[in-house]
Amino acid sequence: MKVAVCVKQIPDPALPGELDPSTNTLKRTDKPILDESDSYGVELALQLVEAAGGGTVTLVSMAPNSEVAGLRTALAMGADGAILVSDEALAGTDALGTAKVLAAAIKRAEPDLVLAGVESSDGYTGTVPEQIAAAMGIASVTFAKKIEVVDGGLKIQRQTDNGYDDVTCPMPALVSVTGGVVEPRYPSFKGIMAAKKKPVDEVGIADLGIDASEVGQGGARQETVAVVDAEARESGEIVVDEGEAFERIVQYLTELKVI
Amino acid sequence: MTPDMTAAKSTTALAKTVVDAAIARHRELDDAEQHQVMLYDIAHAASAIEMCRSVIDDGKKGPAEGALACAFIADVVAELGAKTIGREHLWGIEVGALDSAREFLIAYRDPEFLASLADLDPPSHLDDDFEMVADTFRRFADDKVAPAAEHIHRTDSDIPEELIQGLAELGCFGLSVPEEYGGFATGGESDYFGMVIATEELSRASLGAGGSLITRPEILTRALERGGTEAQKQKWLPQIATAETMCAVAVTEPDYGSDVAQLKVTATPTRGGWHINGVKTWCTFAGRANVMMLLARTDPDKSKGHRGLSLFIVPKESTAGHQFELHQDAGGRMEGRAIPTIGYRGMHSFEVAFEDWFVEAENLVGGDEGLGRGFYLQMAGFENGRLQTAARAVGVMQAAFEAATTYAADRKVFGQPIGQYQLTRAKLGRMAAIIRAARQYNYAVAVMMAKGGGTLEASMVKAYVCKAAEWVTREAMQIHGGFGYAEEYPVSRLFVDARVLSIFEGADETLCLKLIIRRLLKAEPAGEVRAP
Repeated sequence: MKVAVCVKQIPDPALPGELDPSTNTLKRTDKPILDESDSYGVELALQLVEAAGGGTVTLVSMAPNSEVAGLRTALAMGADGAILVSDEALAGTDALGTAKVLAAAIKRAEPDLVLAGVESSDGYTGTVPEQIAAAMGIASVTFAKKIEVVDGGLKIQRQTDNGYDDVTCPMPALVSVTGGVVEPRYPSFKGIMAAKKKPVDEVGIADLGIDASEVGQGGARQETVAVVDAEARESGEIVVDEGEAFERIVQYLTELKVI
Repeated sequence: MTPDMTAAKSTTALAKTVVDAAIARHRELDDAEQHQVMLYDIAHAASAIEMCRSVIDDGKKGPAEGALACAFIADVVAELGAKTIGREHLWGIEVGALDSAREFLIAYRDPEFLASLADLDPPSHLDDDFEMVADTFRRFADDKVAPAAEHIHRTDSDIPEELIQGLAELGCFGLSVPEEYGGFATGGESDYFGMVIATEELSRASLGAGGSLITRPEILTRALERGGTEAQKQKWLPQIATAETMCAVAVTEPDYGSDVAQLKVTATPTRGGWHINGVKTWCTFAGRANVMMLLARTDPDKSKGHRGLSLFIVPKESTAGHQFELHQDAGGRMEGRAIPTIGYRGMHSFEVAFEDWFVEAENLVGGDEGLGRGFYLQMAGFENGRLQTAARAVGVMQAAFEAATTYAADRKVFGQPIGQYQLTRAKLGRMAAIIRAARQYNYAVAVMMAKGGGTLEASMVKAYVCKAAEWVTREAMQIHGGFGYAEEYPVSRLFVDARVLSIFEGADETLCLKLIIRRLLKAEPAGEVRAP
């Protein structure tokens, strides 16, 4: 079984991030890390291949400056190899452009299944997985909490507000994976030492047959026009208890329709 | 203040001449071993100077690294001054032998300079692979070990099996097991580096339930590597690597601790193997362990001392809790009772009595050729254990430093956080310098050991760093004030845990007097240094 997993290498959320004021996009100069929301997809992919009795897990990522630091973590977890798209022309690419690039890269792996996180932890558009599926012309299932291969197709538990739906679909397909549904394994010492020797196929947009006009700032149909600070929290109301504070609390909760 | 690494180097060299002079003087004495107070001081001073020499390279990597290195070196030289003043004649030096270091000490012992180090956080300079090793083990330690650490400590409970299993999956127990025997060791620097880094990160979360779990597999692995038969390596090493076999070490006896040559537990030949009789103590993890690495007297001629000892792998049933009693069909008995301790809890340290406990002949390490070689084989294991223990100490110190820094930032006294007062900041600064130097020397010793050397240095780093951990955890507790003495703050656990570091894996005094100073006195005098 061949599984491709979309993984994003993002700025470390533990470090103070910085925006480029000219483009309102995140500066990506520090060493990136594997987006935690993608680690669930990696884990599921590894489990599916193990359950199938063999196969490959290929990571697919788009990152500036030939960055592989985040990919190494997923390779150390056990993925077999990676396709990295890195091209100066991609700076400022919007969600749709990203999906087109990733779709072209994923095709090179000829996977039976493509996994992706529901959304990245830095951009949060939550639109890329389904756009990739559309660009590839394959089925798409969102918010998966469990994936099984049954009779050559997929049986998926799709998370809903009330529980989950049982969904089936043929392969190849793209499935977006809800965060927290599995516990991603820790890379083992052996895995870490082996990661550097695993193949990372770095390609540019020309290798993928994509014209520079379709991507980057110029090709973007989406623009971040402004970034504003979140509204500061208003200070709360202080109720001095002179024996009847509970009445004010009851009134407040009633106003909120909590009681 | 810009770090002056040239001055740091010359100050270190000056301090080394003082230590070398003392070594040279005592080398001339017929009764050198009687001068224990001096020898102990010299051993510690020599260890500290080696750390200074090592930290100079790190100090050249950046201004923060340089500042911490200069502070450490100034601190070591000041302590050396305290050791020598009034005893110059015993050190074999002139009064004022360290005077030319004064300018360096004025600059880098300055209280404001020390206070300025509190916030420094220079990069590790590890390569990408080892950075990931550190990140991974830190994450595991934070996610899995730390949440269990307080419960284990306060209730003196067993190590949860899922921790052992998790560490096994990470590859912790196979770090020193060669690849051909199912482990991850390739025979290079990475083996020792991986062990040191993993140990530090796990010990940061818990000494008893983290880094110390690696110690015993490391010791048995090294002993088997050094002297095991091929069949023994094939049988035991893969099991150690996967944690299928957990081990304990049974060397110390109630009457003989570091004085291994006097050991009384006997192994007497019987049909198909050996009968073990006697009592061992401080056998950490002896309950949970599936095997014990046991040193026993196989030659009844006691005049042979340590040459009459042999090493055995003693299989046993794994048991939970604080005591066990095991019986063999043929009448052998093994009874263990955990010794209550103030810290270092979880693995439990047992006193174990053996009564005609049968061990198969194939479990004599090294087979017939291993007869009488037990002392040397267990020493091979312990050399690695000393470096590993120094890494444990660094982990404990790092945890104490982080706890103190966090508390100092939050706790306000007289209108401002205590972390803004000079006294607190200078303490934190000194901690940071000690921890950095200790870690760097651990790395340096790891490289030496990978090249087949480093046995003296492993003892040196163990001696210095474990003692330093007492000061670091003491001050971290002090910064917490009354809450540091309360069990609800983990720093109280760190304080009692740190206390064991200078006691186990070679008591500090024995390590200094029987190992470090003996090696230093035997060594050829360095070419460039002579007693003045």
